[in-house]
Amino acid sequence: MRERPPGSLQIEHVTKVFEGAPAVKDFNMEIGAGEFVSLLGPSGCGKTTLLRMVGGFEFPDEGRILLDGQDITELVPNKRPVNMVFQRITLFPHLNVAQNVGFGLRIAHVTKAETSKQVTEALELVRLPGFERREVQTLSGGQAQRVALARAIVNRPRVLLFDEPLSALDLQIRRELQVELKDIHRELHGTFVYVTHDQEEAMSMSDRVVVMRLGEIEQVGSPVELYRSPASLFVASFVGSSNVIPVKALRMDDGSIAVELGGTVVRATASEGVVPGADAALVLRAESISLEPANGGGPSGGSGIASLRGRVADVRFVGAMVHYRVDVAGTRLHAIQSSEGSLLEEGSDVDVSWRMEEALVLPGRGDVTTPTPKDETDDGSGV
Amino acid sequence: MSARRQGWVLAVYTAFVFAFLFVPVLMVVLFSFNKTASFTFPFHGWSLQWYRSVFSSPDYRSAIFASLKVALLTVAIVTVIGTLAAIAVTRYATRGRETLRSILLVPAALPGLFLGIALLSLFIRTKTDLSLGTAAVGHVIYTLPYFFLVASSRLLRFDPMLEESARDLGASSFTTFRKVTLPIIAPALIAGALVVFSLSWDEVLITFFTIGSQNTLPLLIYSKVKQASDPSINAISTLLLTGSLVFIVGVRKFVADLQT
Repeated sequence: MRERPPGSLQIEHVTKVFEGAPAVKDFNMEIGAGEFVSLLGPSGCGKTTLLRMVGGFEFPDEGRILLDGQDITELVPNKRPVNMVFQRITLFPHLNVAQNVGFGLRIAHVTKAETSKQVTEALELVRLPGFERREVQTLSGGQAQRVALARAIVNRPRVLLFDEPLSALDLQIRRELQVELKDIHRELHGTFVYVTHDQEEAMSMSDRVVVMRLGEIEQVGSPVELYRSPASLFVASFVGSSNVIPVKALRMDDGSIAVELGGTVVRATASEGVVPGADAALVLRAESISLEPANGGGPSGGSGIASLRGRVADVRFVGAMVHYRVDVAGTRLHAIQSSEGSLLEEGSDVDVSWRMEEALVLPGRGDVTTPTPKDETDDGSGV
Repeated sequence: MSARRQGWVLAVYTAFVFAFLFVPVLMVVLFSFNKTASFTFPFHGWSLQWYRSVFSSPDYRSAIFASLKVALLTVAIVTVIGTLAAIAVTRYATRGRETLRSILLVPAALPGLFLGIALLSLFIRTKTDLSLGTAAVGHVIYTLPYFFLVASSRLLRFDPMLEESARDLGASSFTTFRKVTLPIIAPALIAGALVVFSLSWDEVLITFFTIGSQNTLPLLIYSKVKQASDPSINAISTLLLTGSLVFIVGVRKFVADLQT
């Protein structure tokens, strides 16, 4: 499977309106050849619509889509050198596994012998060797999606599109396939565009993640960038498990900001757009918080460390990690600690601390947590 | 009433119902093998003479061929029109889908008498000679709704993403229909075609008005019943019954396929 064409994708100011409501708004992005890019967002954010426009199942109202410099905006799906793995199982029920995988090649008039050779290769690549003669009704959900993947890659598309292909599968099979998908990406050096609403899935597989909201790009970046420096409260609450706490921004001095958190003043890292006096929210990752049994002397932070006294409200032991909920300064924080050593007890007093650079202050009201699709439509109707 | 007696009463009742349903059928079968021309007991002994008279009669032969021609022509036309109509209504008629569906189903609800007279007056007015062809036109109008129902209910269960997958893999819309849609819905279309065939095969009313001088099998039998007591109608009825039983078994096989 060498000599693959480049497969770079340019999406230029694409807008798509459904019944008056914009599904995708002025989406502008370039995806490099061989890149694994995920489109991440809640349902209704336009990620699937965008993918379907690249596949040729929807056509933009405005903007262009270019594949290796060639305009494919108006091309029908069967004329595009891209292939899609769908969310539902879409194997042809009247054909067996080999006939399903070889479907595209037979349409392209590849000889029978060559088709069967490439089908065998593709099935090996998706870890289903020897499945040629199986009827598709006998496959498990995971196997069916592997066959669907083989059916797509056997055509050597310049871009492979994935529309939440794992969302219907059990968690364990899903994690397994995520690892394999990344391996397959490495083996093929292909361009993958992957739609998902599962942030862990997007983060663990992709070179870059596009967080979408209400049809627009909220932030594009590597998983590490999104995690370390979310551009907005939306991204912060969508990526990773964060505490988002409404605070009052007091005063600012070179990058660091003093905020009032339930009567206590702590310092944090300010992101762009934070104005003292305006609404702001403190974003604190559950795993950045450290908990210690309270000592008699009261909380004592070193320089650059915020430290507060709190009380453990809830303990959830999940193996390698322990999840705590801690009441501190009038708010309830979610903290994740390693389960090594002795666990804290429910109701006990603790010192809660975090490093100043791990705490990020973003503009906006902190009471808006991860938006549900319902929030989305509510917001959308106002636009 | 004791439970045992209750069960006994139910058994007698059930036996009575079955007798009511099937004794007439069995009488026809029995007397088709009768030695004499009588329709009533006593039974005089066995013979195959009425079957011989059916097979040697040119009337029966030409009526069977006429029925076959009309039925096959009807099936061919209805299968094509009905499939296209079902696809159009289930896929493309986003607005007014229910209205279109209702309009397509109307002919099934019309009285056959009305349809027959309406067609006859149309043919007279357009100076169309009545023939097996005009009879087939009547049958098409009458059977199309049944075929449409079967085909459209299958298409409603059809996942359009299967077609998107085919398009994605390089198939044109026509190739997609030929290689994906058609093979998957074929069992339903065959079942619908069998229904149409059986409806057309023993249709009397519309045929009576639209066929002109020729006879289909049901029309011939009807005229024979009217004229005189010809015991060969017992034989032809038994033959039709046998044919229907074979037919039903065939349809059931396709219906079973539909449910998988």
